[in-house]
Amino acid sequence: MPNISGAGDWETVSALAPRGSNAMPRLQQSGLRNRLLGALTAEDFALLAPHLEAMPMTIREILVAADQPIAHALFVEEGIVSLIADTQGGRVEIGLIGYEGMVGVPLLLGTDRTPQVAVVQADGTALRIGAAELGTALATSPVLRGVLGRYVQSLIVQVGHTVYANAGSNIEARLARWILMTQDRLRQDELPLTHEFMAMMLGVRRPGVTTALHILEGAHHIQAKRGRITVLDRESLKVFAGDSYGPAEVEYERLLGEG
Amino acid sequence: MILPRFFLNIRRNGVLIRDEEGDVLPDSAAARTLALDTLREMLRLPHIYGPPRAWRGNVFVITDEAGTVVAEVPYDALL
Repeated sequence: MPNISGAGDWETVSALAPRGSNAMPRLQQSGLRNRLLGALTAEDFALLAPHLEAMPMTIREILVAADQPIAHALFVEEGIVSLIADTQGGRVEIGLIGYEGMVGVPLLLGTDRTPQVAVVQADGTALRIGAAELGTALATSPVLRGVLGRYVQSLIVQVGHTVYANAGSNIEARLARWILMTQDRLRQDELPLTHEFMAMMLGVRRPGVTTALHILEGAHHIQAKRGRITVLDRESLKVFAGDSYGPAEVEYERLLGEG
Repeated sequence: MILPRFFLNIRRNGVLIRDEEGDVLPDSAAARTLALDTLREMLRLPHIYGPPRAWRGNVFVITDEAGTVVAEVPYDALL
């Protein structure tokens, strides 16, 4: 069984190593999954497109290392990236990024480093753009700045809601919220999640996850098998998550949804 | 060296909740220590794990890879 989480064994920055030139010459905006790229005007997309380069994302790969220069922003096409507060005392997930978002938000805000780590949580692909090229495009188009700025705002709201969930919700509700957010981003019912990984993401000890999963499973919201969770009843999971899930997702749609 | 894996199953209300994943640990003493550390965390964080009265009747039933029970740790061991 693949070890999805184990502390300290994340691969280092290989994603940011040059992978040769596999830039796609005529990227079609309509063929992309990433919702931010999809939300851009044709003019703004044309600013970015020549610099976008497809790359794979592999589980445990560190895309942004703590306090290291961020060379690229990544528009996620498939898969999931976690933002992690990684401290000596432990690590806990603070935000989740999938095809609705981008990795490397500090580059939008005038800095190229952050103590927060971005690590791939589910395999996928992304389109990356160099920090300098992104900076030039942002300086050229206030409209582009506006779209990506609204994404930053949605992420602030999401992280704020994670704080709310972690402060006020029991482990079952937190787990339900986190499964829902993972499902939103993978868009499939079967989710590759080990207990060890969930424990780290929820900031609890692994044996604590067993009972929480059992409670969700006993209520027939999910089915848990070794290394995977299958969502059986999404609506009931939402009830279980209570108001820890929903407001941040609604706000994303308000900020970036079509129409 | 390949370390063994121990499973912290949970017996609650007479039902055994199987730990399908387990933890890689040096020995059964370490598995017991993990159970106690988890209980300490549960006591410390009732807003996450619920009040002790909700879980104090549970028991960690620790098994090895062969399924043999190597230790039982009642949740009220620390209460």
